[in-house]
Amino acid sequence: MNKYEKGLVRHKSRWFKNSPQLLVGITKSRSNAIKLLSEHNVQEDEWVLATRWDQGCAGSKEVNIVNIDKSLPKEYFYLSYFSEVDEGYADMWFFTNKKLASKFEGYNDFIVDCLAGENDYFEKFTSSGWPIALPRNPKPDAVIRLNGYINKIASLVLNLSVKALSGTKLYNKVFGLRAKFEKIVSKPLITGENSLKLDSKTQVVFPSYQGLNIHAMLKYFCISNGLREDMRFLDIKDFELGGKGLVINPLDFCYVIYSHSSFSDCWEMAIGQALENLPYNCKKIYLITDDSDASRSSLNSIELCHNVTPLFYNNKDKYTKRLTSTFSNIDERFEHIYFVHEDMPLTDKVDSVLLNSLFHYISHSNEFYIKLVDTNYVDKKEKHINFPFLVKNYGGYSFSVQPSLMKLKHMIPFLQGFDCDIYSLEQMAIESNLLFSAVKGDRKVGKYLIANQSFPHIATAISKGKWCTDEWPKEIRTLADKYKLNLSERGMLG
Amino acid sequence: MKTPCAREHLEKVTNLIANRKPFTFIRFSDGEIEVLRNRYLEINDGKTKFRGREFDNNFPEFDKKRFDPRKHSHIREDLIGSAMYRRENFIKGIPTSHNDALIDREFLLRLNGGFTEEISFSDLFLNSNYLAYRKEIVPLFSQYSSIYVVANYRSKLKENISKGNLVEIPDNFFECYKQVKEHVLGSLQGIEKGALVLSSASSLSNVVGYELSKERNDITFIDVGTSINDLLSLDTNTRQYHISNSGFLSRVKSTFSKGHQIKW
Repeated sequence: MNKYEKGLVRHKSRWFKNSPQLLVGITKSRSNAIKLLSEHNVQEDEWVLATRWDQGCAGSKEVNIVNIDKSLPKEYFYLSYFSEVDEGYADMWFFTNKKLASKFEGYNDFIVDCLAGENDYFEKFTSSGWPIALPRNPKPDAVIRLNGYINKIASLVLNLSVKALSGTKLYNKVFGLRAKFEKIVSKPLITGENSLKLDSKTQVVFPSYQGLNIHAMLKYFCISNGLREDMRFLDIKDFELGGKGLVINPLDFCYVIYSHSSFSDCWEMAIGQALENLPYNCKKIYLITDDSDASRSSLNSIELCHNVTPLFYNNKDKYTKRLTSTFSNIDERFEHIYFVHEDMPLTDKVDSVLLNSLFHYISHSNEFYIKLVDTNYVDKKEKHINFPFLVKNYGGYSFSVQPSLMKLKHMIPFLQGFDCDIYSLEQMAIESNLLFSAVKGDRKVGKYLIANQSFPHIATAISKGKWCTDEWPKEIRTLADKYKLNLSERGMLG
Repeated sequence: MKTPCAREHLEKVTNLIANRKPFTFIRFSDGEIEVLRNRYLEINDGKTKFRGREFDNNFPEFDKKRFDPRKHSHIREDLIGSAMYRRENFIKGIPTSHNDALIDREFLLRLNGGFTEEISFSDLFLNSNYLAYRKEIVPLFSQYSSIYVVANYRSKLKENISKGNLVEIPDNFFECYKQVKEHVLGSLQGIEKGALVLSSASSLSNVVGYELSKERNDITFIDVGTSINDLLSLDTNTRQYHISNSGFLSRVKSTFSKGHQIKW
């Protein structure tokens, strides 16, 4: 090991954290974790995401954000692109299929060989030329810092200008200026990994002490094991994915809109907003309505209705019977549904990460109904120990007709316990002192509702047959313009 | 590391065609970049929505397109597949510095897994290469006994490609992507060995070139973009380089226009 200590006193240097024990610890964990895939019969073409235990807690954001996009083909090996990529590959995470991941079963042995001098890693890194790397001329720290300050100030001024000039004639000009500025400051990283052919010979070498380096050893492991051809480096700015994180293991769901033909004036709005704002794992939209000529006529005449599957109920049935009879006809592949009424349209994108997490939570817990908006009309509120974005509500409106997630297996028998119309259902629920969870809100609307930004519904847009422009003036008028709704036909409150 | 040269790349392609060596050329232009990056894009009724901005355009009807990340994920998946795919003589044109697109160049290189022999310029047949391309490459098309042209349904094939078979695509095919893709691939999968496919079909060219390359390494597929609009009887005045073929003054004007000289 002495060869790695030449040229510095490690504990006084910036490489003080690097030790053989650390390298062996991390790589042994990864190898053992990958070996488990075979024990659990993971298929060769299944996705595998390997992360370090401290994923998200260490390193720069370029490496600690897992960069997954559902559209990526499975046959490649993805990992972070960052400024030191020529020296070595970031080991925080990789994302690939099981076949390629399995090569990491031998990762730890390879690293031990690097440390023990059983392969030519050290020689390549320190003397004969490191593969696929360009020489670097780093700028002094002071220059980098000064650049950083100037860029921050310029960026602040431009961002404020873009905001202030929104909607004016100058907007496009300032927007363009900001884009040009961003282009200048975010000059792309030019690296050997991106610019050189894989078999290029280089003269790039590093000091011996830098060789005790998990990134460099990972790079050499990948090249030595024929993985480099399959590798694709991803930058965190490559794809626009909504900025709220990325959905991992998406659970498919359907969106169920309850309605009646007398509310068909809202259908275009309800469906259009759903199509625009629901995440991709919403695989189907159902529209529940009465079995009538009026329903069929509207379904045929409204173009957006071609995107939904209608489910019909008997108009003579009460609300709970209508729900249970139609819920039973929902495709069996949907264990969970996202339930709304036609007058609860979305006004913006749903937080797809939180929604998917809630679906995972609901499928692994005994909760079968989670309200997506909160209410203050409850007997008691408690912290939700298992899910920090939720609140536990006792009594009152803990159960009420609002946008909600439902686990059908339990929801149908629950509703079968009632034989009520909407208002008596809510009244009975209040008297039953139920306990259900709701997504925490941060904005009070009207008398009871506490809205949140993750599930931006108008809840509700119609009350007693009239548009609730008293509580949702801006939102309703925006949608009325968009869908050409004549608000005066129903009349408005307030 | 030798900096890639657009003229040399054009010569390489000329040699491949002259020697009837099958190859594929697809190109990633700014529209494809937007799709790859998952950004909303619309070219419609004289308006373009691009990278968060809206401005006027004078593109004809057949140039209309709209990519909505929420609705058109299939085309994006296929486009990413084509950007990552590598094979000998599967040539990918990517945006470069004269397009003011260094960030996009590096992005496409990463999707390719780094620089390879098959990486070229998205403007390989355009701008400063356009006249040489028209003079040296386009006449060679007539050497092929079987020519297929994937283009807008309004196209009427002329001159040396007049005997080609037109595979029609509609305006704004994004809205019916799956059907159009199936139709085009179905029309081309069984074509004669040694055939030439010229594709002027926006992002569909990338996907069709990619899918065909996986199955047919005995045909030549060239994404011609708008470079032979005149031979398709389509509007020939929609891009700056079109005017360079229409007279001395126009040529001079085009030569000195921004971004004319193709640079890595």
